[in-house]
Amino acid sequence: MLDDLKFMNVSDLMQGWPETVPVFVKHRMACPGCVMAPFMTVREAAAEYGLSADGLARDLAQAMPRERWEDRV
Amino acid sequence: MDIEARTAVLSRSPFFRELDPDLVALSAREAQERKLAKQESLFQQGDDATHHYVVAWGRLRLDQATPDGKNIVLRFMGPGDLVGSVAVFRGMPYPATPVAVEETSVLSWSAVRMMALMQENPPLAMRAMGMMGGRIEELQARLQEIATQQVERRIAATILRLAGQSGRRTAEGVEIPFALSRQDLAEMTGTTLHTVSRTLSAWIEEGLLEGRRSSHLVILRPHRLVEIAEQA
Repeated sequence: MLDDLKFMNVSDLMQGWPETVPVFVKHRMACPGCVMAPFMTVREAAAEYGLSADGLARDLAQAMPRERWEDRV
Repeated sequence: MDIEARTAVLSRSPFFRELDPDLVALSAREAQERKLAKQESLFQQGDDATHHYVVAWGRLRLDQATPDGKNIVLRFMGPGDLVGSVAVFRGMPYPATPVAVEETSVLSWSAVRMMALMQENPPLAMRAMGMMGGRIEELQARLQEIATQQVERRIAATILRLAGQSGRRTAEGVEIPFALSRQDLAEMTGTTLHTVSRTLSAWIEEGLLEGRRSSHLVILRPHRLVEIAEQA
């Protein structure tokens, strides 16, 4: 799951799982509301902020209700 | 301030620093001292420029009233700064009003006396030229900011808006999938073709954009472009 998450685009993630928005905010990332969010993957966004992609993906995964993720895949 | 204190102030100011100690002491003796309360003006914009001033301590805000009645702050002047000299040398009225933003003390010399001191001591004149050169440099930097930074933000925001509306993700970045000329961008951002060209070239050089291979712009570093568009 974490690997899939890292390659998801940030905008889809926030739309499909609004629970992830506070995670970006917590990491002081400006992704919520950013015009470029539809074009950036979680991995790329992490890199721009000097964060570990694995760590960010883990935090995001924790915020996401598991059943909705499983529905998707 | 006694003469010793004035001499100490002047020897630290960039105007007199490391000049002949006799000259510094003489200048200190001849200076008139004036204290300003907070909010008090040293002189008024439009007054005849009769004196050179050096700020001994405190801080002045240089206010300029524009013809339509707006006020702009040109700069702040602190200890050691030379005030009024540009107008004195140019033989024009003071172009701005220095207002004390805290209790301030200045030392001054009449235009005639300072001219005599400079004629007798050319290094002092060189120093004044250096200080005024520094002021020009500062103004040029600010002019550049006004002329380029604001417009940079506008150009970045326009490209982002276009990408947000119609961009597509490619392996390299975010492509604006139609031919967008620099003239188009200039007209959209209310600037000149020259400015757009210069700005885009700099961004391409920085690796922020790719625009050489086709007429389609590709944003290679979207995050950085957002930062430029949103910088304060």
